[in-house]
Amino acid sequence: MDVRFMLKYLPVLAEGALMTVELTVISIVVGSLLGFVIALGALSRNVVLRSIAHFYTWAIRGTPLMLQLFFIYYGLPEVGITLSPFAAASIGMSINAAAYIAEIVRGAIQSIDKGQMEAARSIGMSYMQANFRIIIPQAIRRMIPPLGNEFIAMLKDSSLVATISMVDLMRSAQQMYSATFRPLEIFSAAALLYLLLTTIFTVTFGSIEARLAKMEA
Amino acid sequence: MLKVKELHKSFGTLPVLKGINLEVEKGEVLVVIGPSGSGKSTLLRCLNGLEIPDSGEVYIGKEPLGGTVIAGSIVPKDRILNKQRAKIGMVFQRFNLFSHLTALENVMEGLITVKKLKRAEAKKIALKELEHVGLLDRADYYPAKLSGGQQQRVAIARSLAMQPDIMLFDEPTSALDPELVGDVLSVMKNLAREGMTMVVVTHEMGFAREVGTRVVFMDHGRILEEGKPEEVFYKPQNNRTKEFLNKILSA
Ligand SMILES: Nc1ncnc2c1ncn2[C@@H]1O[C@H](COP(=O)(O)OP(=O)(O)O)[C@@H](O)[C@H]1O
Ligand SMILES: [Mg+2]
Repeated sequence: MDVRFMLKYLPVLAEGALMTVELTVISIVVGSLLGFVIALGALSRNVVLRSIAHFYTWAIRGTPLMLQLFFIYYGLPEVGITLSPFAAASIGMSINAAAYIAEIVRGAIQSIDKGQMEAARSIGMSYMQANFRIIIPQAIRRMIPPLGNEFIAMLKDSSLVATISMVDLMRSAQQMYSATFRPLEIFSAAALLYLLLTTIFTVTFGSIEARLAKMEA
Repeated sequence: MLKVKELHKSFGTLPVLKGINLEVEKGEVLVVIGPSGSGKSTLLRCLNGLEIPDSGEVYIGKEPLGGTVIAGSIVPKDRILNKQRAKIGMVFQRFNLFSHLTALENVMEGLITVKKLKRAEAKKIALKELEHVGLLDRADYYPAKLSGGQQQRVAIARSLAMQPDIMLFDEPTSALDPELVGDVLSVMKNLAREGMTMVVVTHEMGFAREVGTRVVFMDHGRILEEGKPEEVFYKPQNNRTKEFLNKILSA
């Protein structure tokens, strides 16, 4: 393995890495918002909302991400919806992430002691006020560690978008390998970039966790 | 002040309250005693609508709890219940302080969210209530950093800040280490002397004798005996009351 060769290709791969970051950040943001709404649906007292939320998480978590991406990118044009690889990848990843995030959010909310809701209601708060002022802020602290893991998994799983012709870090590496036939150097460089990204995620979440841990025992 | 008529409540097939009738006058301190599982907590929770009884009526002042009574049953409206709960303080066995808020913020929360006071105003009231329970110096502590006794006093301050007409206490000292019980009881005694109307589930005889105006003994979802503290404690009429008192006195 030629380290100099590897270093030479790092900057070229960095462009793909940037795309990976962009995609991951978009799907974290959209997936979290959507996941939050689905979690509230799953916890709602309304049977219809609850059923929709359960169906969503069941369907998405029960099928592979790659299939979902194919469905959006290759399947939807059949019904007149043609998306760019970037749009298809963002939508697919967001929809997928939302299902997992919803489960994390739901679990965290359900883990909050029932006494918190009762205390909130007994000083006159409405159900909504109690949820948004008391339950959810506490649940968010509990969500941070599993969400951190989920976001890191998303970053790595985003490599699947290479299969719908998105030029992310994985696909950049594949292209460069086809051009140079230096798999060891190219894939090591890609691995370094993935590690750099996942490490940044881990450290960021670790510090958020540490800051919140100071408050609660 | 508080009136309860023919209250019934079951959980599934388990009847827990089997026709409770009760009246509490303004300024009274009613002490509720009874074995574990007799329905004391459920009764208190029905008094502020945390549980809705299957049938029976509850009146806070002249108002029916939940707003309307149809054919002897409460038909609660959320908005009315929320308003009424703000005027009924509730203190729990396990304190239930909001764990993500400091002591001060715990007391301010209802003032801001429910009473819609400005932060500065809420803070002023909250500090006064913390002083009332002797915890001004712990204002900025999170619940996890407070002892059980301190947490319970903050919980009392949180209720008091809402200026309740009546306070309900559900075994407020039974989760505390013995050496911490006294501080909480003395706060409650002060409150009683200030004229607060209170319903207190407790087995603290000293408290009942000192400030209790009446004691009721509950067993299996019924009130079996009722009277002045000295009557119920020293001359119990009902055999079940006698048995129960023997048990807790020998413990
Ligand atoms: N939410 C509930 N669901 C089912 N059973 C309950 C519930 N709350 C209380 N119970 C039952 O009702 C009975 C009375 O409970 P409780 O009112 O807590 O009694 P106490 O406070 O006198 O110990 C117990 O048998 C208890 O298990
Ligand atoms: Mg109880």
